[in-house]
Amino acid sequence: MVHQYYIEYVLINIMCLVISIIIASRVNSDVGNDLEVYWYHFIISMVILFIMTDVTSFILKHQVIHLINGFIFKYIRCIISVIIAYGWFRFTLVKVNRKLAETTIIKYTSFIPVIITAIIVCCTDAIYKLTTDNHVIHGDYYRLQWVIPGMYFLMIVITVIEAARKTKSLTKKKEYYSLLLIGLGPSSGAIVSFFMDSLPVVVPATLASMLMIFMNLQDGRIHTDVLTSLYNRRATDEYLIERLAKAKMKPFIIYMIDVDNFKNINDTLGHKNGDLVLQIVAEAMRFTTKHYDGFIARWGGDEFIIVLDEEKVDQAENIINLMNYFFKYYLFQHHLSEDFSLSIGYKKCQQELKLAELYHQVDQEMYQQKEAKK
Amino acid sequence: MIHYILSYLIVDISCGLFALILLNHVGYDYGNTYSIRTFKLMLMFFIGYLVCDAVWVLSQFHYLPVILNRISVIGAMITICLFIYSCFIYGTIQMDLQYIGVFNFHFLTSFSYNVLFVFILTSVKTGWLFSFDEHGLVNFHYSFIIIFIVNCSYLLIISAKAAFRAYKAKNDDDRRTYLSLTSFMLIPVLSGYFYFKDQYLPIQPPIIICILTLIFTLRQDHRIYSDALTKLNNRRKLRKYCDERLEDAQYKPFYFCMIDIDDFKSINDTYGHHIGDEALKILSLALSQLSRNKHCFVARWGGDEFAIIIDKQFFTSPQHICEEIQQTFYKENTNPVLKDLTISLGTYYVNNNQLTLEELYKSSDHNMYIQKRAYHNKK
Repeated sequence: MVHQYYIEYVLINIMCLVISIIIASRVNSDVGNDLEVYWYHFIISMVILFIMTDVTSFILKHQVIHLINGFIFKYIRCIISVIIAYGWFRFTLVKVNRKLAETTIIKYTSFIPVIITAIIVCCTDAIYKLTTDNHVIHGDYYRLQWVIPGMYFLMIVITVIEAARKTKSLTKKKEYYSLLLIGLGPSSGAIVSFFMDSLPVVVPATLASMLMIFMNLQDGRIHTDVLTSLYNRRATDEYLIERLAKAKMKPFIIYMIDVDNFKNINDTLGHKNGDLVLQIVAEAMRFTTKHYDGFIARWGGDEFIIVLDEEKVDQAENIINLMNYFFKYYLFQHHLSEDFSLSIGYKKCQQELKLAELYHQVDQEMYQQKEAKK
Repeated sequence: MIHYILSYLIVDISCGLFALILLNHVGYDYGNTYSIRTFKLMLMFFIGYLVCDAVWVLSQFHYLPVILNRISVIGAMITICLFIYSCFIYGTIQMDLQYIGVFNFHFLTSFSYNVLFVFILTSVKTGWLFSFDEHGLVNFHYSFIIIFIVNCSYLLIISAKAAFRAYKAKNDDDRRTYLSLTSFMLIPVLSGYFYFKDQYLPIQPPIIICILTLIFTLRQDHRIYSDALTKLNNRRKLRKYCDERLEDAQYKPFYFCMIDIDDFKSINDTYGHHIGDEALKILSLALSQLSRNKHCFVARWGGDEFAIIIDKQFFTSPQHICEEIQQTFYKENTNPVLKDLTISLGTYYVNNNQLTLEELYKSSDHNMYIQKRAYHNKK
């Protein structure tokens, strides 16, 4: 069974290599914002390197192939694992606190542990010892190599929890905690290999987390509108179908917002200002629903949707007034004429409906509003 | 020994973890539910297979009771067959959806699997495909290869078809989708080879999960660049494509066209949004037909506006293209409300690379309004 074990070890690494190459080839600027993508690219290329050195050092260790100076791969592997932890730390920082991530202090200090590890690995006998016949054996403090990555992960946990504590929005909180969950992969892999060194757990565990992050990034792009960065129609459909299924237990209110005479705005003021008005509506929506933890989306051209829990809203009309108020306010701030207005229709939903029916009903409500104005 | 079993389990667990992650992100797409459901089924059967596989290795080495060994072997066989059948269905949906609706399609294609399941289940008594030795462990007979042959032939059909489609495909996106489907063939080729060399290697799960990840990421990629309602390219893709084209516009000049439905607002206002959506969907059908005929690129700009990038040699005249789109529209349209719908088209000739997408949009939009005014005057 020894023979099979070797093949399995190599096999799982090859699988991870293929998957990480697939992911790496799909990461481009359309998947996330620039810094996110930069750090993600950094981590994934390091993971690829790590897998390669891991396989090589495994093969050399079990003397399937002999190579003079093969110990160098072990050294590289050890250093790369710390670099991955470093990249992960920077990535989380970009996601959680972008301003902090771009300060020079963070940029330089956060790299110091990597250099320390490199020095310890290469110049001392603490982690790896070189015997006289060019073999590598574990040093006295072999387990020290898990400490520095562990410190990075501790830092990640601290920053994420700190950020999650500060924000009030529930969706942001959820996003932050999912970052923690993602960090679980590599750390659990490290814990297993702390006790049993020769199992291929670290790589698949790390890659599972990477895959999760990648999917989240992609989902973000699939579900957001390019212009306003609100949710788009696809996300709205997905969300409402789920929401309608449990409408009896958690009734909700859906608002449909339409910019009056948007076509005219586009024709007379130009598309640039038309886009600006849409962005202003999005901004007003964000501000209005700040304390309600609602779902806001751009549903199509100039139509927007807000979904709120019914129990959080005392009076449905209040939201409409707020919305109109903030819309005017932001128009004023952007030096646009305040003649523009919004038509807002709403519908309370307490029983299960078909999606198309719901859209139709709330649409009708909105048109009644519009007609009333004329 | 213990290392072997633990590594085997790690392979199964990590593949299962990857599959669960994919399953969690499949999502929902309007009008595309069938392929999504099939993809979900694929992943679920695969996870089922992994569970059976893990139980098998544990019971094979007496960490679990022997009776589980029998159950898990049968379970693994059935789940892998179901998985491969759902791969077949998924491929068919991706390539030609029209067969799915055909009466008896499922009955006919699943026929050989039904026979196979009868064989597998009765083998417990009759011992055709496998039997149990004195320790209660499973012994495979030579006739066991029939399962392999059936699975192989289904995958061969689907990958051969995909390869043919990829060869004939006109644009890169389609070609990539079809090529990813041909990778199904890797499952039997690689795993069969290793399986006959050594039964105790977990070779199938890693190959399958690699292929599933490839297909899944391409699929998500497709969604990033496509519009949810009309399934055409969205503005993100347009920007990417347009930047590429603008770079060598001097050598390969093209026309940038904007299309707009006349009085779309009044359609929406008088008949409601769902009629408006229907109009957009039919128009997008007409546009994708145009893209096939004229080898051009079409995308939805937003609202009721669409953009076309068309090579100089395929461009005839604005009126001609406009009429062609409208003809297809009337042919596809079944709704009496939309029978008088007309569109406006503005074009701009691009032969230098000094412009940006926004400027192109502005210029062609301007040209479109000239035509629009003419339309309103006519009315």
